[in-house]
Amino acid sequence: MTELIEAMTSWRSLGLALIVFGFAPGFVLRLLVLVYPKDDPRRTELVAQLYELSRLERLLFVAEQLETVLFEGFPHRVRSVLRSRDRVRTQVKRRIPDPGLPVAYRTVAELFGPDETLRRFSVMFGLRGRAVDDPANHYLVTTLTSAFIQEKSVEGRFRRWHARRTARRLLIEGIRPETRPDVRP
Amino acid sequence: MRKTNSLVQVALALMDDPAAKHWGYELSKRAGVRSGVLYPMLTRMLDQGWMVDGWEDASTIQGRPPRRYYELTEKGKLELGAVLREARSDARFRGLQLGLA
Repeated sequence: MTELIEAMTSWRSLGLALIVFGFAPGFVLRLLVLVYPKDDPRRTELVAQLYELSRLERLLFVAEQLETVLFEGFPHRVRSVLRSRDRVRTQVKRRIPDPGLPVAYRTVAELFGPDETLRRFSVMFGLRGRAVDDPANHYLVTTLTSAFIQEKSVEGRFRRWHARRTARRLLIEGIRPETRPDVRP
Repeated sequence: MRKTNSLVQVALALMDDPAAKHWGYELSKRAGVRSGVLYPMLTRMLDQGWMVDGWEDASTIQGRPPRRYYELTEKGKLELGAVLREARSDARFRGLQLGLA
């Protein structure tokens, strides 16, 4: 602890802080405001405010914005991520009609691989005492697929993009049943 | 909005010239409130319709991006006026220089 305090109060740290905040305040501030969501006007506002100040004030201003970013930007970012996740879930729910078992199976297989898909499907159907390709399973499969996509969609930007693309494909193929490939698990 | 020292200080600074355009950092200096407290407060005021915001005309400035300004709405003036009136009779804010605004 003492070492940490000493490191923070050393001349070297002070010099580094002066260099970072004093000579490259615009750069540092632009990095800081990245914490705000992309469409947040505070990003532009803080940067614009910086150039209105004298060089000496800029140093303090940038240091002060650390607090702003922490107490305002970070919660905004968290809220924005949660909102966009909910939006994707709603979109996926709305856009997936009953795609039919083959399409659903193929879609889930794309996301999880054939073994895992078969395991999940078998567990679900086995519990209900039905065969995998029983037409009574269509509704269940649709719901299950939607749930799998959502489950995957929360894991990262690429996954969300992939889930959206898959959902689109499901929608297209669900609307045109004659184009469904005859893939069976 | 919860009545705090910071809110009263910001209200004082805003009501000093209620019709003017206010800039974030300039307001924080006049009110004596840190940016980390002021900006979330401004956002809440915007959400509640106490203020409106806008951007400087880009054609009138050079060498820097346009700044965002804040203006009090009629509702905001009434609300902040009420905040100041209540603060004058509240012992918690006795230390603040509450004028006759």
